[in-house]
Amino acid sequence: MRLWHRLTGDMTTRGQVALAMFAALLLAAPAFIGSYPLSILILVVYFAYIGQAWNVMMGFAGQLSLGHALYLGLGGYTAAALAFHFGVSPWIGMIAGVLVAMLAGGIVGFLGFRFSLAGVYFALLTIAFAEFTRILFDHFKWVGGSAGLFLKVSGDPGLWHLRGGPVMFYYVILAMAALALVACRLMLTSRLGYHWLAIREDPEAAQASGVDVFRGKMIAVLISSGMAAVGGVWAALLQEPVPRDRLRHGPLDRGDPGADHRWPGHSDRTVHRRGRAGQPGRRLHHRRREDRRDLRCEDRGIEADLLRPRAARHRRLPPRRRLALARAQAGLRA
Amino acid sequence: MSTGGATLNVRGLGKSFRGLRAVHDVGFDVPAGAIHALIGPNGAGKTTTFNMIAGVFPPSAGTVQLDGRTITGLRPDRVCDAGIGRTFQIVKPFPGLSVLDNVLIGALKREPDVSRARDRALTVLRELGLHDKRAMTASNLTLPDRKRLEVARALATQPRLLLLDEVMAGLRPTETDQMVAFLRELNARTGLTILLIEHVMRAVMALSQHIVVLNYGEKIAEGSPEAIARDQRVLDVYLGQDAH
Amino acid sequence: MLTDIVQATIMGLLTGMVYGLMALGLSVIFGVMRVVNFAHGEMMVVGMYLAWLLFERAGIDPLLAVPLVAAALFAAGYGLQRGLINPFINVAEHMQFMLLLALSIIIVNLCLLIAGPDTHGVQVDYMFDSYALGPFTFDAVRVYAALAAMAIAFLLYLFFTRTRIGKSIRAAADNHTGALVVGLDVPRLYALTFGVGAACVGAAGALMILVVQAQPFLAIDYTLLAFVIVIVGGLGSMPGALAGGLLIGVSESLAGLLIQPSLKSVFSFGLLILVLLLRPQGLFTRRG
Repeated sequence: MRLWHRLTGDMTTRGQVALAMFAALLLAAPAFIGSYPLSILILVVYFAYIGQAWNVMMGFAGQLSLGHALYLGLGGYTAAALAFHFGVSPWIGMIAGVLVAMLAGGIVGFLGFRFSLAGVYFALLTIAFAEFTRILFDHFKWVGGSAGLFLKVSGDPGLWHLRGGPVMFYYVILAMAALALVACRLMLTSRLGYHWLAIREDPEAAQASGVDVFRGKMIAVLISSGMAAVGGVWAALLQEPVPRDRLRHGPLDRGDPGADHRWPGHSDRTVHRRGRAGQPGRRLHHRRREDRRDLRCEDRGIEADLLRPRAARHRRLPPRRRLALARAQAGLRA
Repeated sequence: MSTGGATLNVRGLGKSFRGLRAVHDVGFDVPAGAIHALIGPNGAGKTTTFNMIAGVFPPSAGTVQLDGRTITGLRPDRVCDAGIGRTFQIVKPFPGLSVLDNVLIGALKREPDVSRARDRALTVLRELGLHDKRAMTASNLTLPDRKRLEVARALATQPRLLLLDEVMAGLRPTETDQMVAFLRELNARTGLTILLIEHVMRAVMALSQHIVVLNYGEKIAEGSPEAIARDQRVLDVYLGQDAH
Repeated sequence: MLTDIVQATIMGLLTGMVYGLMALGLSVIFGVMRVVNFAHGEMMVVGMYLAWLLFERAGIDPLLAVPLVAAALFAAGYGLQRGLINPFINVAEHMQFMLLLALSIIIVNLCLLIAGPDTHGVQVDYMFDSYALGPFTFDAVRVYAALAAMAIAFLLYLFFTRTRIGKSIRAAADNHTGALVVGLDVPRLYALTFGVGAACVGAAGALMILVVQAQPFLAIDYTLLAFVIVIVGGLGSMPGALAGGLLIGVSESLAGLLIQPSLKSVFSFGLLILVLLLRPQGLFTRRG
């Protein structure tokens, strides 16, 4: 009872009823909406989850991170690479992914906070690390370099290997989002949460009131990056190819009106995602539900360009132009 | 509220900022349960001294001891651990949070459980007369109320030494008297040691048992309020110019 | 090998001059108004597209189009600041970021809508000319672009040091309240500043189209590059922005030569990280 009270705070009864109804709607949704609306709903819930993760750093602790894609990407890539090379279940891979992302978050946070970077400067530091890592990953063969990792389609289906239809993914992300909501609420109403708020509002006054500001900020970045990594794992293994531009993490999403991000439906996929779309001249194939022929094995399928801190690397060039562009781009800033 | 007062010993405290000597060889003692004041013209180094005691920056020279334990150069949150609470010359509330939450954060220092800390915070608010305003956002408070909030937050950390930096500035005479009365009662009831920086002489004379005078970063006099009020050096440098 | 290095360095300097001009615009905007212009690269790309359009439709050489593009972007920047950004000057930083981020998204997608995702280049007559100096060759387009960038930077310097408006802007940057007190119309000055910054970056875009093809997705790279240069060179320091531009131009060029072209940005970001941590005021400014 006290837990419930803590979770709902001063929500009115009407509010609580509305919340329950909303939850019920979300749970029942797949039964009565079509597959395209479902795909949109999946994205919505996904961003609700990622937003919670990012909010721990910004909304709670007041630290602006614009390079959050780094953690998403590291989480996703670690799990995907482990699944690809060793057949490890994504749930195990998730643990590894979270650890890797937390390590990265810890480094960024440590450097930023130790060197007293705040505001713009801290945000730029986060972007710099994300970009730096993204470019390096383009050359990192173990994770597929710039072509990305293609996970085997044939594999055991089911929850353990995180293979299944969109409905399964929907419920997984819905559960994640709900858990994240509860966890964040619990954190915010705890002693740690109050310390975060103090740090956000006035770090100097917080210190004078006995708050260990550095420790608070570090915990925030570790939790935030860990949560983001989990989202990255989910996204990496999402069966339905998600258009790259849709997987920009939360605040930096850049929707592309040109991208026709229809989901190709439920039939089998010949290609799987995970790409590192850094380089110009690559092609995003995934345009229309009907254009099945657009999905080509040798191209870089659908990428969740998770390490890209900002959006749209979305090149939909016909093949013959690609080469010309690549040549031209080679002259870029040379 | 607090568990008695702590003794403060400051010896040879100095601070230079890239060649500018802000404080030089300042030393004084504040016995447990006493109320002392630190006065002097603007720029005399009073707040710099406070900042060194409170750990905002480490001194270039000298030591600070609290109840015999050296706390020189500790971080501000460690200094708060040791038992020092402080207010700021320009009030620094947590602007987006409620009055209650402001004080709650202070109370969390000694009381890790949130609901118990909240109870403690409510008690402190009542003592400062802010209980009715507990749900108000701190940024919406008037200046006197913000000053009270600052004191409340510092008191919620259960300090044994309270550093007050110009807490009377901007208060009307009646408000000043109220604050003086509150501090005196607090000190009498709990034995909390208080060191205050003040320009408002009315308050200094009414409250303090002992005064230290700084000028250009150095201590030029110290003694009882009566002795200081008659001290020629102090009159020349500070009191004679503007006694309020 | 040595000739390659020197050649790459010179190429880097030439390109770096145009980068410097772009970063100058950001330095002006950020230095004066403390607005973190995340739409900077996007404005550059708009400049590129405008120059391309003028070339395609009216046959105007980009070098001649510079004043036109600069004027157009000045007007756009002025309007944008006055209309949209001004209320955000004194609010929390992250609100500013979000606003400008949103703006950048809108601009890029407008470019996509209007011009499509294909690249567009400018084929001027002298595109394949080059000058030879001993064992080194310089592309004519790069030389002209660099010279034009230098000229514009010089004009900017004159503007800020010799004209009354320029000095007023510097006053407003130094001390907002003081400027208000002496009767300067600070909102108008801010709008002018944003306009000047936008004109700078537009001019840089018009010059860049000679060297690189326009594409909406270059925008983010340029934004980040501008920030790297401005931070490395020193925020608010105009010579610093130019020096930073040259430094980054050369480092990219050399990294492309010595390691791998696709890794060239790694150095820029690595440098940014180091500067942020160790010398956040920039390499070319005095401490403090």
